[in-house]
Amino acid sequence: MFAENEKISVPQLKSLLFLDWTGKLLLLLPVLCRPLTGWNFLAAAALGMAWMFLYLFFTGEVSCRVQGSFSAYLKNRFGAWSSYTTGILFLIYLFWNQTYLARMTGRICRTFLLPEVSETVIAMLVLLAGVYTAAGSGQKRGRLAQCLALPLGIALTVMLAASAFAVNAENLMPDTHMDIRLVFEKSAMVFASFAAVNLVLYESPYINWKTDKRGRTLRRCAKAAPIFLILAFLTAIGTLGEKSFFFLPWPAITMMGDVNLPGNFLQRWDAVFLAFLLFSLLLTSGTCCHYAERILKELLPEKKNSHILWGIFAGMTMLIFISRTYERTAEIFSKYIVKGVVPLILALPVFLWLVERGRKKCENQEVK
Amino acid sequence: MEIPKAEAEKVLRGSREAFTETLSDNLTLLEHRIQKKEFTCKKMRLGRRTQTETALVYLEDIAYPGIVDAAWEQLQKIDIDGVMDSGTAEQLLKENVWSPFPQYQATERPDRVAQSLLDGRAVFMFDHSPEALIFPVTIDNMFQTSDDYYRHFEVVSFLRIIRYLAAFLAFSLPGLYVAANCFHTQMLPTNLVLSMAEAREGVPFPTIVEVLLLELSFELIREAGLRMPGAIGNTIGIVGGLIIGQAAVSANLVSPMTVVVAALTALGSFSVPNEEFSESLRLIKYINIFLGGFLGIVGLVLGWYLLLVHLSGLKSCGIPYLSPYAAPEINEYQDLRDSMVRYPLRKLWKRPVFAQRGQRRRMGRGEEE
Repeated sequence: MFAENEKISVPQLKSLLFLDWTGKLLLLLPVLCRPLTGWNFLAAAALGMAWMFLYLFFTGEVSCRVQGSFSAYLKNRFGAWSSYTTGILFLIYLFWNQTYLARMTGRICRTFLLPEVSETVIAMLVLLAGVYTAAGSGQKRGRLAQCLALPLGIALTVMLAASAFAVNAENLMPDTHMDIRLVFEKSAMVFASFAAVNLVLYESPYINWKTDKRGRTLRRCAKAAPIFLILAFLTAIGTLGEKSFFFLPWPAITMMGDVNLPGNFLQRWDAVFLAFLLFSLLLTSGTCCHYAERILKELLPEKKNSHILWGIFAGMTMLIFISRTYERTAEIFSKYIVKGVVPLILALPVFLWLVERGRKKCENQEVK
Repeated sequence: MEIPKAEAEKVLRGSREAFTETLSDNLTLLEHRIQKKEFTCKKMRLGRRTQTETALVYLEDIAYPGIVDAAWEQLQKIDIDGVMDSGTAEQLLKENVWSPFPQYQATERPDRVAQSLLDGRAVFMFDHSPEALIFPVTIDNMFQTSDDYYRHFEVVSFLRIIRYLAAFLAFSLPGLYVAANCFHTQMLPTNLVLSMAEAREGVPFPTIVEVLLLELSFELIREAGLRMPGAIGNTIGIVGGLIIGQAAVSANLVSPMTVVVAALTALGSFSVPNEEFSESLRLIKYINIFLGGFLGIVGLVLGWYLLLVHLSGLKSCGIPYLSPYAAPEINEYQDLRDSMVRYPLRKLWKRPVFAQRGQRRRMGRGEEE
């Protein structure tokens, strides 16, 4: 039947990218870009996002070449070792990304909403929600994201607009000098935090692209989250000031604590804002589990495919317990994953694009 | 043929007719609305011992052949000794048996069936059953009534939004109340917190027990009212609702605020037009109460999210249950014009996603603005 082609549509991809990035990066970017704050931070964020937009050209171009699964494509081009190596790299990234996300959500919920409940319990619930999201067809995630994106986008924007009333114009005046070197350095970190976009290569055969200009389609799909993030950070800096923005662990949430809507219907809006963000974080958790399952399904023989999701759950649970605290997870994630694994993941499409280009040139010369 | 009046799906405007318990009469009622030559009626007998006459009705040139054929095949696969009502067949036909949500739309109204056929949907009708089963269904169908198309679009749109809000109240309000009371009092304005605390003064139970107590009492009243003959049933509702509620508050068993919450929840649940869908929401309400009681707003968000994930994975005869909110692009976003908000009838020139691609225009070009 027409709804059972196992493919997601481009609008669904757009919703997925928006939700996958909004919640996670709103909380992660200020932490990754420390010690930058104020306009330096905004410049680094904007620059990193601009790099990501340029970079989408490579991802789009390579995805055009992927017929069938991405692992099969790598295997055909470079041999089985390449599909295994790439798969393992992505799996390390996904497992740690999930662990970090679960721990971070646990810590945030504990700090702002549930001081009595253990961080690990919440982290495990986030993981369980992720596994449940990933179970079943990939279309499920697409539909879920499409239903959530618009109401969530509107709700978050309204809350952002409400908090904009508390912006102090003086806070937006640059009072520190621009540290160009650090801005460039941290923009690389911002760029690295968008590395998940390369997972589109694995998803590519399951997307109803409708066009060969995939880079352009990807850029169109990817623009909503960066715009929202920049606006949110601008508001947060305007509301809190450079110093508070630097010292607070999650300035975007704290900013919502100061919101006062006419009528004083609620005393604290940060809890509501966080509740909305939680939807996005839970969906991102589902994304991690979904891609981990997809990669493992492509790498493992079909006979061993039946209980993959349970294996993923067990593996991620183990990491959540091994990592023990949020601080330790954040340290491992930013030291080893963002600086060690992510550059390799980001280099992959560029490398593949160069190889494909060289191959095309050779073929053209042979024809001549 | 004596035609009964619709009891379960009452409307303010439009036909009052309902199906009878005889299949041939029901098909005649349908013929009064759509010419016989227009619709196809396939018949078979269901149940080894009961041999219940069953009909599949659809408009051959409009309904999606894949959907109709798959449903007919599914019906033929049913091997059971007896089918007493459409409800039995519905459960046997369900794609996802573990989901509490209805995957077929039961209706007693011939005009609703006729409209569904014109939309490109198909219908199962059973002898000895006054309800027809319309398929495929989407979540949106659960919030629509047949007089939605007989009244002005502004009013209908407003009422549909109210129904969605009512559904949200039906499965979330008690959970939200418990969560706010147990974990997030700092979120609420001081005056409200004080009046809530004052109202709870003297109540010996924790909020979650108090809410569960009242909700379960309400279920008892409802069940007792349903099983009693008409007039006594109404009396039980009044006695239960007013007197027991008042007595429980006076005896300090529950706080007045909890009674208000339970009453609003009940009103919300009654405002959802589809009874089976409303029943599913009632079940989810209890899960939400526990989640709100143990994990506050985090638990509730988790509950809402998991509910959405479940609904995203649900399909009715191959159509996504969350359509048209999910995948509206399949029908070029036209189905959103008749969803939570209804556009003027002139703008609804296209049939929904259920219809064949080449047959989606229902209105002459002259009517389209």
